Amino acid sequence: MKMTDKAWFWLTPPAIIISANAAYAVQYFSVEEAQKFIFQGATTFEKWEFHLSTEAINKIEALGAGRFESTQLSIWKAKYNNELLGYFIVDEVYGKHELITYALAINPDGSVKQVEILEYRETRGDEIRDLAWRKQFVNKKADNDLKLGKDILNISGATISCKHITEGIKRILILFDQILK
Amino acid sequence: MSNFTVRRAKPILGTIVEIGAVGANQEYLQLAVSQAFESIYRVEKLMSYFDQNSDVSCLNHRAWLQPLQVHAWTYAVIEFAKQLSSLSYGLFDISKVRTTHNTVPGKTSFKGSYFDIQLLGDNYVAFANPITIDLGGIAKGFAVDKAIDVLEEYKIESATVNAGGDMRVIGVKPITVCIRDPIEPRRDFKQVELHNAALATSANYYRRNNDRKGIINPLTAQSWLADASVTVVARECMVADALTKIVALNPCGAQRILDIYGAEIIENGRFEQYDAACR
Repeated sequence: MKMTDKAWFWLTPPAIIISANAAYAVQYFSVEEAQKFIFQGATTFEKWEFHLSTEAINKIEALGAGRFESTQLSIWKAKYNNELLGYFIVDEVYGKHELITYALAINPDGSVKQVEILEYRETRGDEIRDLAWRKQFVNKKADNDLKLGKDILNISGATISCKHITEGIKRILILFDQILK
Repeated sequence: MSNFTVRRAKPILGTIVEIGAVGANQEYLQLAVSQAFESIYRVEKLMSYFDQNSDVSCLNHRAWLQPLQVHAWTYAVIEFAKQLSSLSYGLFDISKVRTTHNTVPGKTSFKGSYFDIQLLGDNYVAFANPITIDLGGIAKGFAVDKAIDVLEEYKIESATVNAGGDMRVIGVKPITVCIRDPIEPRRDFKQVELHNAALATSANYYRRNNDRKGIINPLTAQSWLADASVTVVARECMVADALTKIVALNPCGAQRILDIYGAEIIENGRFEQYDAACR
C-alpha cells in the first residue's frame, strides 16, 4: 500500500466486499419509476402494442441507423386524462459486452424530451447460470454502490455503449417520424 | 440525515455519464442531479468536434479568418490547454489531436501548433494559421467539474460525477473507486479512496482492436502503444484528464508538471514498467 502525505486520496488493499446487491447489474430506474419521473403529472400510461413488420424494419435500417435488437419495442403513451403528454419508449442495446436498457421520452411533436438509462448488465442474464462462465468472476468484487468506475464506466466500453444507445435513439426517432406523418 | 441516494446515467459526450448524490430530500436531489446533467449537455453542445454548431466547429471553420467570440467555458478550456502546452513544451497540444482535418472551403490542411491559438480577451479567440483544434482530451474532465459545481451550488452533501472513467467526488466522507486492469478489464486492479478530488484514466485496453488512434504524441506524431493505463488524481477533473496524456507520453518528465498542479499518478501494476524505465 502506497502511503502519501496528501490527505485527499490513498490506496487501500483490495477487500472482499459482500453485498446483497445484484452482482452484475446496476438498475437506475424501474420502468414504472422512470415513467413517473419523466412524465410527472401523467394520469395514465397506455401501452401501445407495437409490432414492427420485417418490411418496416428493413426500411428503417436502410436509413442507416443500425439494427433493431428486437421486433417489439415497448411503447407507452403518457397521458394527462385525455391529453397526450408524450411517448415513453423502452429499448435495449448492447454495449461492449453488456445489455443496456434505456428509456427514451418523446414529445408529441416527435422531438426528444429525455433519455435515461434504466439498467446496465454484464450479460443477458442467462449466462450467469453457466458455471464455467461465472468462474471468470471469482475474484470480482460485487458491491455496486461502493464501486464507481467498475460497471459501465471503463473507457472504451462506455464509448461503445454511448454509441449504440445514440444509434438506438436515432432508429426510434426515424420510426416515429414514419408513424407520426 | 442522509436518507436518499439518487443515481442516474445518460449517454453524453460520447460516453456514459453517471451522477450519484446523497441527501435528505429526494426531490431536491433529483432536481440538483438534473441540473448537473444539463451542464454536461451544455459542454457537449459547446465543445463537440462533430457538431457543426459547436464553438469548436465554429473556431475550426472560421477563427483563422477572423476572431470569434465563444462561450466563457470554451474560452476557459482553451486557455487551460494553452497553458499546459507551454508548460509541457508542446507535448500536450489541442491542435494535434486529429491527424486529418475537416474539409472546409478555403482551408487547406495545415500543421500549425498551439502557438497559433490567440486568446484575445472578452472570450474572443483567433487562429494565426488554419489549425484544427479538438478538445476531446479535456472536455470530459471539464464537464465533470461543471457538474460538480452545480451540485455544490445545491449544497449536496455527498456526490459523484463519472464520465466514462473521468470522475470527481465531493463530500465529507471519502469514496472508494476501482481502477481496472488494462489487460484484463473484467478483473479489478486497484482501489483508491477519493476525498473531494478527481481522477482520470487513459488506457489502451480495448483499443488495440479499434481504429481509434488514442493518444498521439504531438511532437513525433506517434501513437501511444504501451500496454498500460495511466491514472492521475488531481483536485479538478479537467486537470486530471489532461495530465493523463502527458504522463502517458512522458512518464519520467511529467513529474514537474504534476507538481505544478498538485496532481499525482496512481501506481498500477502495468505502469510500473514505466517506473523501471525512468531509473
